[in-house]
Amino acid sequence: MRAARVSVVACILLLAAAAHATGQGFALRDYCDATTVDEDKAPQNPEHPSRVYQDLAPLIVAGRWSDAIGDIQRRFESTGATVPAPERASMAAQFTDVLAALRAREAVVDGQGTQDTKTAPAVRGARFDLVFTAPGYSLFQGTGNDIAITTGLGEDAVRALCWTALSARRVLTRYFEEGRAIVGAALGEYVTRWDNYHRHGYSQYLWELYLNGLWTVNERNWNPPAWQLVIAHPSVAVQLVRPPDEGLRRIDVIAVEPAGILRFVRDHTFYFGASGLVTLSSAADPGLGVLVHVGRIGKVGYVFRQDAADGRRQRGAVVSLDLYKLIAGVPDKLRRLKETAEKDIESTRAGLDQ
Amino acid sequence: MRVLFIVHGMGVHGHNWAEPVVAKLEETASRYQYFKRKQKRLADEVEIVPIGYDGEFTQHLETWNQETDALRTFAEANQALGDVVDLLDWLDDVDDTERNFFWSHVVDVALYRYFKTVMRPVRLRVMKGLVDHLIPRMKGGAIVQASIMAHSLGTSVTHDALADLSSAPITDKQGRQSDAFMAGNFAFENIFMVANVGRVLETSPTCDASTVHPKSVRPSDAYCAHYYNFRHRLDPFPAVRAFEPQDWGNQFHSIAGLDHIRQPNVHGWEHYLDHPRVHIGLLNAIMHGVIDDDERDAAIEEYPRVDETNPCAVATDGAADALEHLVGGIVRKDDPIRMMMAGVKFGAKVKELRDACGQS
Repeated sequence: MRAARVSVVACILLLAAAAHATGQGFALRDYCDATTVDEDKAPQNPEHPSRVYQDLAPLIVAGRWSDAIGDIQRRFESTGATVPAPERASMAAQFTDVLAALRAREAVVDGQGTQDTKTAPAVRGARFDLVFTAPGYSLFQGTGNDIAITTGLGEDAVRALCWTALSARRVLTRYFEEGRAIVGAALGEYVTRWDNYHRHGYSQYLWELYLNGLWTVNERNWNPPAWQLVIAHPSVAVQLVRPPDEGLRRIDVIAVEPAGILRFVRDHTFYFGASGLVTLSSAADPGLGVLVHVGRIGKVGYVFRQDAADGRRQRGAVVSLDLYKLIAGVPDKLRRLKETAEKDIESTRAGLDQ
Repeated sequence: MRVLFIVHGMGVHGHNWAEPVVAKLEETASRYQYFKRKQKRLADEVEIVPIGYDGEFTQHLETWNQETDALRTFAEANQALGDVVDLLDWLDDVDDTERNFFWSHVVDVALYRYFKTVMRPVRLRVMKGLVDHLIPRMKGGAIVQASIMAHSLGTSVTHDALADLSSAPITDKQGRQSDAFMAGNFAFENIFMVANVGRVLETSPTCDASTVHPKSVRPSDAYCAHYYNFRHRLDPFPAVRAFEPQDWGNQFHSIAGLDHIRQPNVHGWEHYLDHPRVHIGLLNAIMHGVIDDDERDAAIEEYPRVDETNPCAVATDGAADALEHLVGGIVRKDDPIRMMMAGVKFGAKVKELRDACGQS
């Protein structure tokens, strides 16, 4: 009999200890962790954040943000009776603050009497974020209205505090929705411009890449440079010269641009500009000239060189290898097209003859 | 909804670069009662979102490669100009990114740190990656509990991207301005920096001056509630100008004395994640304390420092003095060049160890 009594007492003590370990029979994250709270897809309690947000939908759609937040405050005042006075006062102070910011913005109307829909800086969208810091949660950290949420407050108080914070956070998250879309669009525009700059721009060697960002890209300007410096830029090109008493002659050269400048237009999809030019080749003396850039279409230059043999000045044209291949390829392409067309005509005629 | 963004470090990353990291996270989570009991994977509870940016580096390497190829072909046909073209010889190796540690790793660091025309689009791409993912998920007032984990160069990129996103309003083409993602209006729950090189590569804003700090520093402009910093004792990259902020309060968590060895590359992301002090800190922060103190202490206690079943780990442990010497030589240095030089030496050592144990 005595042994049975001891066992019963031991069981009671064990159960009490277990209840204490899990926080008086409830887990904080069930009320304070947004994801866990959202897992309840059909909440019965009308104060559940999902239900509250549903109730407030008409006010939110109408842009009556202060009314929506005011409603959450009233709900807290009626359900948060078990919340200790200091925590109630902290919550009230934060509601007062956010309501003042929202009302100030809502009071601003433009010339046509339309309400200004811009977000108010003083609202602070992250104001109601619940911060998990083991073993509890904190609210309004560092504002002077700090609330430490622990199981010691009791289940009703924890529920009132956390659900109120989550409801208010949902409304404020929705409040910044249009603003988030603007940020998304703006970042998309910046990234597109940089993609254009690198994909459609003139290729840059390491030193050019370094110098071109040195002065133009900074904290305030997130756009790619509007101008591009060309410095000591070598590339392979084709020089076309007509020596005396000879036909047009092609010389493969290295075209070195000692310095030049390019201007970007149309969201960095196109550029134009000019640079100095030195041509080097084992088949001819060095030439000097000017190179004109026309986007990725190519570059065309004028070059002259002193003939070492007779001292006469020779002139010539320089085109980028890509452009040269494009131009030189045209007669071939036309010939092939002509041949195909002639074959088609022949086969059609043969068909008709049969 | 819980989201964990992961941002990679230096090096060439293929399309599926995140898979080993996600697999390691899943494997580590499966060691604990919460996931066993619920028979859930981490991916059931947390959406893991990879954010990449290495395309910004590879496109430049490819462009230079094409340019030098054309010059090389020309030089072969024009022997007399060989000397001119030889000046560009040093660019030749860009083709070997897979094998060459310098070109595949250190060049990324140099391009990011010193080239604003590379740094800016990298930052913007990461910002866009984050925002593009968050916007649809936050629609209709949905609460997203967002965390971000970055590794190596990614820690610097992440710091810079978050600092830019959180410090000033952003204006679109139509002149519309928004502060929706600024500190005060949005905050990450946790930032996890693995092998943090944020300080040695910092430009503007600096790590001390930016908003990328926990609430225990300046709550008014904190861009995260908690900041975790993980550092391995033998990893040379985070040793140079180590990230050791003073007075960051109780929401800054520094796990700096890691000394486990599972493979020669102790800088590796998965290698860091394997240690219970790293992954339990991460899982508990994201999932709000699902692994209790007893289970955590037992996991740390039972975790062997060296994986004796892996000959490469044993060989690396044998070379710990050499690695320690390498770290010791740079620990008081504070410039990115030193870090890059140490990185190259470290890469060579890792290769040597892998070759020796037949894992290369």
